[in-house]
Amino acid sequence: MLPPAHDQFAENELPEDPSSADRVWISRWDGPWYMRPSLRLALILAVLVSIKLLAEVALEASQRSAGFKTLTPISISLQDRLSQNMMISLLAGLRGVVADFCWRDATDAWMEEDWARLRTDLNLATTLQPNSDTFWGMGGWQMAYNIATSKRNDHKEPNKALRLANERKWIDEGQRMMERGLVINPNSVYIMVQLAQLKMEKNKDPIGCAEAYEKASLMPGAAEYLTRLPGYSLMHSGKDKEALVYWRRLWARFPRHDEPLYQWRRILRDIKRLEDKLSVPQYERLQVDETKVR
Amino acid sequence: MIGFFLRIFAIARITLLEAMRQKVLNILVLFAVIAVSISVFQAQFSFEEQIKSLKDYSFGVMTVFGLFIALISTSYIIPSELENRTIYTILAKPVRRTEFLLGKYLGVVSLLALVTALMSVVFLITLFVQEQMIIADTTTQISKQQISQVDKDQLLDRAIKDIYSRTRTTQVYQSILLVYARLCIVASIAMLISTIASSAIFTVCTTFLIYVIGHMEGYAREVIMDPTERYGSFFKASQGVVSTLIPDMRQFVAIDEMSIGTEVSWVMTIGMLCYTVVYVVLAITMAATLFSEREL
Repeated sequence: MLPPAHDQFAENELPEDPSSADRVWISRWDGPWYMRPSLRLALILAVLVSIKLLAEVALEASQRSAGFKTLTPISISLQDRLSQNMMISLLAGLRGVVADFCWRDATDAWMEEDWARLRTDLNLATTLQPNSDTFWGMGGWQMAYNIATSKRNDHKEPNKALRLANERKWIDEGQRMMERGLVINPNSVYIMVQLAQLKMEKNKDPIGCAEAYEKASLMPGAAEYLTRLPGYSLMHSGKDKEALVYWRRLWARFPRHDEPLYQWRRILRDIKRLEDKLSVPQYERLQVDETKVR
Repeated sequence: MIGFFLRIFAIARITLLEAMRQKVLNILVLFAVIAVSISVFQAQFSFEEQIKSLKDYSFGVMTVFGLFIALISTSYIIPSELENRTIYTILAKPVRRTEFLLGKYLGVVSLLALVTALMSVVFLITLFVQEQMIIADTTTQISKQQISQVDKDQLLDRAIKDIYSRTRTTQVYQSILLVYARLCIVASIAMLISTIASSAIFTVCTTFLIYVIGHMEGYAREVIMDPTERYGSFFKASQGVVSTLIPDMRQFVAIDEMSIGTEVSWVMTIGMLCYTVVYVVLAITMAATLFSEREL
């Protein structure tokens, strides 16, 4: 048999003698202070809310240290932060779905050559998920390549100078988008490689391109072949001196040169070729035991 | 003490059975299952985008339908008990109001566990199908390349490992757990509000608003902790109330992060589950205190 579970203090019994009613309390709200539910509520709030707040601060700190960029406001201006927060709140739990939808719509806008819609979609997608490097890298690429080329070939604009100016404007816009993406995702190899390609192909800036490739190769998780791209970009653009400086720097960075994925033999061959081409004195040339190079 | 748990268990069991008999909830569950399963027929992008999109969509569906189920099933419990006058029969028995409330909450939480488990099974099957489709597609693409067989094998091996790292990872299960935790918090808020509200619609609307505002709770905390005079004292006080009572739903951003590929440790996941427990205890204790004083 279950024991009775009535709360004796909760009984709302009226006093038998009505004259003694002023001495009998019939609800806990009228009783002694230590029995009042308000005190119990205050105690619960004080204890549990403190634990809640401490847990929130600790969790947020751990999420920031784990690299949760979604917690990082994409803009420091208060108004922008408010609108970003407001939008994210209203999409409660559906942020990823809406960001993906914007991305898909951006692809449709690209097919339909609706550039204003494409730009809006890209901005929305990157605002909602600033840590998705595909949105920044591919978004910047869309602007600097697809929109820019379309503006250059815009038959509605008879003035060639204006067409070229419009093309340049979109290339710069695309570059800015990638650079903003890199501020928020500083270790994104993908965005950095996209930026390097943009600098080479659209800005004709092999030195800037090589710098971007070198930064990408130094990022965590970067593929081994990226270490060779700065050298090749400089060599193919006729910047032999700069290429040789880079190859030597790369050679000095590694104590051993026997890892096949880096293709050290190929690098050594290029160094020697450049040294010959630039007539580097014998005593300044790289001295290597070629049997240890793979 | 055993009697306490037995009474709670009995109420929870009845609540679960009653909820499972409700046609509205069954239809919602059916729609949720269909919505998760059709996510496999999405536009073709790169495989990273396909998997990310599938995860985002499935967790979004699980959250939205779970939210509806949590709101509807919790908000109507006390008003319907009062309307049918069954609460008087129950409370006339040796059952405390706290036990009644706890039993009802556990019933709702069990229902949410069942619904989440069902949607998760469908999601995992969909994810497996998508994974196999991507692998088949990648194999065809690599086999067409004009490179040696050794290079083809290496490329395929690397691609399959990359695909598995996104589909066969514990992060998927961590995300499911966090979706469930989020729903438990929503149910506890609805339970707290339904103890003081007289209408279920009011409970549904208020709980949903709190859920939305909860995504800005971190911002409210930033305002309070701001040492400058940028914000007025009234604004800070109002943000203080928000920060004190409303759960920080922004913590669950971990689900989004995991679908993108950010590494989220089990320690952090367990920390978030503990936070859920703390908030649920806070809400249910307050609800029990308020409900024990309510005039029925």
